[in-house]
Amino acid sequence: MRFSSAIVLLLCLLAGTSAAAAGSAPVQLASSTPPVLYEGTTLAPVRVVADWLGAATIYDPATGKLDVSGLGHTVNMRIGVDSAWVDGQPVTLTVPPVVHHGSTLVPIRFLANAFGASVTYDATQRIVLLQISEREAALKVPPTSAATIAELRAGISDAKLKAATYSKGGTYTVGVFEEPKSNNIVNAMGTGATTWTNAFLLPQYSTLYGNTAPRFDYAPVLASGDPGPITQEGDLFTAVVPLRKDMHWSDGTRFTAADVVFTYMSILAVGPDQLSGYWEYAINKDLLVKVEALDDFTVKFYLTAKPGLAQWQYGLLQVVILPKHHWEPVFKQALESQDPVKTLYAFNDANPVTIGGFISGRWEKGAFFEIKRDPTSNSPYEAIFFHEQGLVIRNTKTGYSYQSENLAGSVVDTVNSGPFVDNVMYRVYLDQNAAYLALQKGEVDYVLNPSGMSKGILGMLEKHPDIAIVQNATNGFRFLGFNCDRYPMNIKAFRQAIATVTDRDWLAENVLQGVIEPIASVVPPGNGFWHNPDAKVWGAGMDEYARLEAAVKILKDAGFTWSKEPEVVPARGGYAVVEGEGLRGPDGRLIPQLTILSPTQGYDPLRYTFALHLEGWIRTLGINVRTRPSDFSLIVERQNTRDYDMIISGYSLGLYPSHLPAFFHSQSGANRSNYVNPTYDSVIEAFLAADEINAARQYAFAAQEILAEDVPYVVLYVNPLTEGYRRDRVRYQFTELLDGIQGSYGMPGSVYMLE
Amino acid sequence: MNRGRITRKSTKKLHRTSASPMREVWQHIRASKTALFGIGIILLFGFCALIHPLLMHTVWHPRLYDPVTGYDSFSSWYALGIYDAVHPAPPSWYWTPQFLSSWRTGQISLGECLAHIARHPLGTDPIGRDILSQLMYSTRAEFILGLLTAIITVSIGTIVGTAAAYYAGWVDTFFMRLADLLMLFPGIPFLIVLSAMMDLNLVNLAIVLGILSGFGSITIIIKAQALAVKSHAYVEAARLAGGSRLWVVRKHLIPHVLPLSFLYMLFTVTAAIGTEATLSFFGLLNVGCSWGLMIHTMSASGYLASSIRYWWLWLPAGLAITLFCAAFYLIGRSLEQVVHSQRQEG
Amino acid sequence: MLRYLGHRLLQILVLLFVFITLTYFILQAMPGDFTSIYASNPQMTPEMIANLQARFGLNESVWVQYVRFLRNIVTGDLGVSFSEYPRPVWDIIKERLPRTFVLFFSANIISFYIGFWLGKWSAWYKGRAADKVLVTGSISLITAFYPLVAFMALWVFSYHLGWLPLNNFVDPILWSNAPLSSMQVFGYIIYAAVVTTALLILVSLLLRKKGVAGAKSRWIPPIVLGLALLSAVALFQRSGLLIYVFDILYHLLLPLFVLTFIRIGSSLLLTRDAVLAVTQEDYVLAARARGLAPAVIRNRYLARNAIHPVVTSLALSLGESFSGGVVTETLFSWPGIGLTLLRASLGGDYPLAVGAFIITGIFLLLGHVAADIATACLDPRLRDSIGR
Repeated sequence: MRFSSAIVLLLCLLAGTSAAAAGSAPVQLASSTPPVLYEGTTLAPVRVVADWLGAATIYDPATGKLDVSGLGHTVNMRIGVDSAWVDGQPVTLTVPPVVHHGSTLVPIRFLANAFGASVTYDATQRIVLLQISEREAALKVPPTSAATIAELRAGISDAKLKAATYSKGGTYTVGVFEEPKSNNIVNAMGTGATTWTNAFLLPQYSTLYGNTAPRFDYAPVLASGDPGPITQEGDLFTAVVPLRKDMHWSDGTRFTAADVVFTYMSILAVGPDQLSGYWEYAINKDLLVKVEALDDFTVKFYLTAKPGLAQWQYGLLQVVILPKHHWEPVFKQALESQDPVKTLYAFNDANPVTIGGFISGRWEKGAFFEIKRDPTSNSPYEAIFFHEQGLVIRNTKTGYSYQSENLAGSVVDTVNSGPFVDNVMYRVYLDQNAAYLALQKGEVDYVLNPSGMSKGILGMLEKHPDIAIVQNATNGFRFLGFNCDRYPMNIKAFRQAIATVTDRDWLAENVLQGVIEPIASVVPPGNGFWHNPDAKVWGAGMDEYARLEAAVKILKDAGFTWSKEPEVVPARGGYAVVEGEGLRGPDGRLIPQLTILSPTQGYDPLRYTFALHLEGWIRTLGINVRTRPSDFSLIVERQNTRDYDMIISGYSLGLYPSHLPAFFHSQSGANRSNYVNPTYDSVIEAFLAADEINAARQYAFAAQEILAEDVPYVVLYVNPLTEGYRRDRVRYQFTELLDGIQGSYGMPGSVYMLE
Repeated sequence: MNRGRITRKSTKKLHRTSASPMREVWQHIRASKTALFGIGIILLFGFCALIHPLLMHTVWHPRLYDPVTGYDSFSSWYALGIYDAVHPAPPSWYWTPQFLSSWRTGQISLGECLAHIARHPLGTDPIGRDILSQLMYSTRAEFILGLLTAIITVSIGTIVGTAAAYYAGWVDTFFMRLADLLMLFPGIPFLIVLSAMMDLNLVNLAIVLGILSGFGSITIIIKAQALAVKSHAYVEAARLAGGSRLWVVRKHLIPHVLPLSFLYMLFTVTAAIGTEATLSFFGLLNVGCSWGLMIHTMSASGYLASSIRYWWLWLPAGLAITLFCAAFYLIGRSLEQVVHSQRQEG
Repeated sequence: MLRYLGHRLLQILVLLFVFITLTYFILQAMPGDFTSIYASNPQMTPEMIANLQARFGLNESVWVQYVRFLRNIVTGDLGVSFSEYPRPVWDIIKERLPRTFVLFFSANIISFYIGFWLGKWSAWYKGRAADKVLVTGSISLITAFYPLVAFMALWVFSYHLGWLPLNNFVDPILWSNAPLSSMQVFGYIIYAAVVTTALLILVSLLLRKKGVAGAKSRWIPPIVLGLALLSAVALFQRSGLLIYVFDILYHLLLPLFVLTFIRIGSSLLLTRDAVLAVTQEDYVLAARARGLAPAVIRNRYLARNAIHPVVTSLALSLGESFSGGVVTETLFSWPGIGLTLLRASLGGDYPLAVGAFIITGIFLLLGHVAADIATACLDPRLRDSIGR
């Protein structure tokens, strides 16, 4: 025994010495603060790694700047900021540098790789092995406790919040295509509403409640908690809304309930139906009786009936609040004048009083307009923490905090409210090509284009190393609409058959080469909360021939007949389609010649292409149809007068699917397809009456199922929204959201300028 | 000192004996090189217009080559092994340079290379339609547009101009003021407004343009010429001999005015094609295919900014417009000498 | 002369009235109206759209609207725009007219001037290589597709070479803190130009009166021009506006260059034809026979007599220059009257559209009158025909 153990010992010694002779044994790095494995990234104290690499570290606690340089490389980082510069090139970090127990922790892999070292992690031994040229080092990573993780998480959130206020500022330049219509927010919420006016004015004001990007959760903005329950008091229904006590206007005046009361009551006094636009949409004078201040920070709404989501949460509560001391004289003068609305709208608000964190800058007519950061605003100290369910809002300066009722799970995303830039300059380019050339040249940081960029521009910008391309879904759709009052469009099977032969996927992929995204639902898939993914899609997954056969079956089962039935016959190389002729309805009537109205090729080549192919597909069913390209205003007029057979058109939508009742309820004035279905009507009425968002969702799902079955609209596609920005100049906190960056008007309130 | 070529070469044309100015015009065309060049170009375009239907019925399959609904998705090119996942096809739909380099590197044979190039000699547009096919198909439309406009313009201009000249008085004033009024309407914006109001296809456009220009400046110019002719003795003589006013106008005024009309007809073609191109470029016309629309397609797909790289999307159409207009213009210019000298005579 | 002017003025007013009426009814006849754009917005219910129509008076019959509109016009009130409600139409036009004027007017004058000189020269050397090149160049410029040419110029000079700015007429960073608006600076530029022109005309007339001839008469106008410009520059510098004026002029360079370049072709050909026509005249032969120097023949006999159609054309196009040009304005982000007119017409903004038509129409008609007067002044033979 002793001999064998001696042999083993000798062998070990030999092994050890040979290993030693072979070269470097990994240096064991030690540090007071051990490395941490945080959500898949290993963090280690920066000095430990840098010293071993042979690089120098400079840390400035005042600004949080952390610079590591040596071995011919430079890395610039900042505490709480998840982007860094390696040799002048921007890099995104999964976890930002953070101070933990007195040490500055940074992601090891990132730092080591920046200097040319390789990193390997041995999971079983929990050792990180660093290797550069001939040297090796090992770092032991102890198991991380849940407490440490939680501590780190809090530390990172705090660091991020703090980092926000360190931001350098700078000017964020955006290219736009038109100038605003007015500098007056009352006008902008009325007839002057355009994307550009909104870009100019909306960042300056706030509402009581809003939808928080990127998840678009419903949350309080100027309110301080959820709206109180609707209770009945005699004839009226009331609700109490608490307000934030820590907000103030840009001129220092405190925000109080008086402002809220003033806003609603003044609009009521002028008459929302006179003001038009969003005022008229959101404030219904038959619903809202009055708004009262219970104290300085609580208001009470008095309504004539129990409101549904559309009128309450997504209507009345999302109205821009005006500062009373600034607007009261204006409204007074307006009400005394002959035409109050005109006087109100004509008011030149050159020095506005704002609360949204921005304040109007210079508007050089025809050339540019700008908004400046309000330095007195507390908004940069605020952050929104999205949990798996619900959210938390915290302001480190004022101590305000809010938490959703249904809060559950851990934090999945954090958004810092800005502004973090000093100035936002919007430059007007009347030509899209010039705007994108400017982006390439660096004259602007981002182009605000509600239609997204076309394929050619994308091809041009893709190759540019400093331009990042972002793709999102638009909230809207293009469709083929039927006039459900006319024969034969009033026969459900007819519509279903056409829906079946519409091979949008093939068209999108082959002819249009991926420029569009084919969809089949009236609530686009991008609107994740409201979209019903299980609703029926006619002809899903079928090829041209299977679709035709399925459509023929649908028609046959409904009693249609042909003089020559369409069929799919085997032919050389596969199959061929024999077009049908002379379709007759179930009552034996010959289907008359039908017309599809579509935009001209010059106006919208995509819809035009769809129209041509639709004509082809419908013809194979034996229907005598022809496409009539027409001017767009003619299409609008025909839609309004319900004078068409089939029409190809499109809509842009809001987040809340108010179009489900508007377009399809039989009594709705905007129901331009004459669609009547009593079952749908009752489902939609329940949807409107629902006061809880999840209940409304169930009804919305049911509504979509009915529409998918009845197909008053064959939804065709949605344009994806492709945008570009200069990744060497700006950083957005998120770029994946419905309607893209342009939906939030370039996100001036949350963008950072890179240094 | 005779550096300038001020000669009296054309003197002999001044002593006109024939009563048919048009024949003189024709003789001049035959003699002038520029005019012949112009006619040559027009004949070339005409040939293209005629041969297109032939090609569509024989060599070209409609699904690929139809100028409006044809498309050639290049997913089929992957099957040929030229492009693969590592070297994807460029999004440029024009393969000649790639085919040439593939041939040079030995990937494909010369025959294959030529066959591929022949498939789309001028490439395709962003929606996959063959450019050469579109070019030829549009020629027919442009001819119709140009000639129809020209004929309408000149007919109206000649009749109204000579009438104004001969009848004078309120007829004259009325038409001159009408011309003024029509010249007030800014051309392109007015047409844009019209395009929103009515279905502006090629024939309608030709009619509208014809009427607008017919009552416009051409009337004034024709009238001036007719006035000059009217003062000639033989016109008085014809009246005295008992000819009715109408007969005098028809027999004497109009023939002398015709060369000028013909001249303006040629310039009108240029203007009509140019207007159509501009309107199509803005996407306002309802035509299936035209040169302006080809450029519009490029612009709408966002390739304007990369014009140098994607030159086949605009250069063939642009050159066609320029050459076509220039051809008519050249003939017109070579005629100007004759016509102006005739004018001077009067 | 005065009677003639009076006549023409009356005719202008009548024409204008007919023009306005026609335009108004054509615009109204377009399908849809200003509220059509809201049709695709599900938030706008039909009741809301009806309210909006009532506000703009669109729910009344066309005749009622027309009469109301006429009443306003007669009192000088062009009304209030729909698309920028309730900004007065005159306010909008006042903002955009100087911009349009500066660009298009200058382009016209410069291109005619250059075209005239080149055309004269080209006619004299007819048949030579230089002439052929110039003529071919002119023809290609006339038949070239303007939007493409303009964009190429933009791409080459602004993007690729970076010599000239990509957009607009001002530099935002510079103008962020400017003491006055660009509209005012444009006004000053026009003012300076008008004063300088008036001065030049005065000087030329004085020289003609005094009978000064020869070398002196050639050099004095340019000297006066130079002095006027220098004093303008000094004045601007004193008031601190110089840097803003220069900025606008710098942004003016590219669109001006492109516009001028395109138009040189037509004025060159026009001049050349006119000169060639005159060349056939007997008196030219006589002058040559007398042995006069070619330069003298060129300038005194040919050019002076050939100038007639050129001046007519110039007067007409100067009148047109108030209408702007949609392609130029869009591509170079130079929002002017042309674009305003187009957008207003297509968008159903009747007050703005008709207001813009009126203003541009007035200038067009004035251009006609100027052309007629110039014709009469230059060609004594036609002086009596003014009573046309």
